Amino acid sequence: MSEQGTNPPETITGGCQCGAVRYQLTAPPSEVVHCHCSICRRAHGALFATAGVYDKDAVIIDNGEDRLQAFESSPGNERLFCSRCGGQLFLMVGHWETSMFVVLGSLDAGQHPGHDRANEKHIFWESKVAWYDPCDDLPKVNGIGT
Amino acid sequence: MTTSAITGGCQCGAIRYEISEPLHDVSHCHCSMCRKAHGSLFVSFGRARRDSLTLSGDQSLAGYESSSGMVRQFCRSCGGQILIASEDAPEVYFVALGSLDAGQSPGHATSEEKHIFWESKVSWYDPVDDLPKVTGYGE
Repeated sequence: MSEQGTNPPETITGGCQCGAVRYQLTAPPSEVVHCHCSICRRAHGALFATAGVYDKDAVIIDNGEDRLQAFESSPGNERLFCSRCGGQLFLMVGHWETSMFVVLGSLDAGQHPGHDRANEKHIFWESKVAWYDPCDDLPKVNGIGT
Repeated sequence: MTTSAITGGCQCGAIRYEISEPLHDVSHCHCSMCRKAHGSLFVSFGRARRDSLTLSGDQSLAGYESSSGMVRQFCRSCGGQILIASEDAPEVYFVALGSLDAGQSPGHATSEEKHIFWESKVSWYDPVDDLPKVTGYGE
């Protein structure tokens, strides 16, 4: 397994597929989660979704904020995606005042987010599809694990 | 193998589909375009004959041509990625398997499942399953 990337760049960049929305991240995420819940699977059309928890102040949208479309996927929680290409980018949790999720498949060139691997885990493992298991050695918790 | 219909749709429910037979050639794709299109570290697709797939709510489908002749179709209301239509393969769709209802199996044979574009995988996360991992499509 790969450990924390060596010398991750100070500023991480990302955006949607068509390039309309571009952002930079000025600090690493406090936590990285691979979420297997049914809502993430549907939102991303993937077997699980990977997101980092960031201070809102560390997320700078450089371009295309007007392209961001919101969908309230559960009460108070909004998923933001590019209206042009459908790329999922952010998840705003209603009761989080100072932090937010950035979906990590949207980072440029598969960059390392710069987190400590001790702060990475699978969540909502009980909702995982039965037919695929990534078999890694990360912690797996039910729900959000608290 | 399942013999009952496979169903799925987007997150908001505007788009629904039913597939009358098992899917084939399940690919977990690590290419940079799939990662950006879905916001996930890799994306899993199954191949379905177009004749076997019945779609409703297609007025909600938006298309984005991510590479020449390859159109990714997603829900304009919730952004959920549903399928890829490729001009090179006019008989089939590539269905995004995260959109299947209730985590259903696509009904494929495990021998038809692999990771593709492994060379494009993010460096910091490794699925360590025992499926084949190929470069590109593995031709």
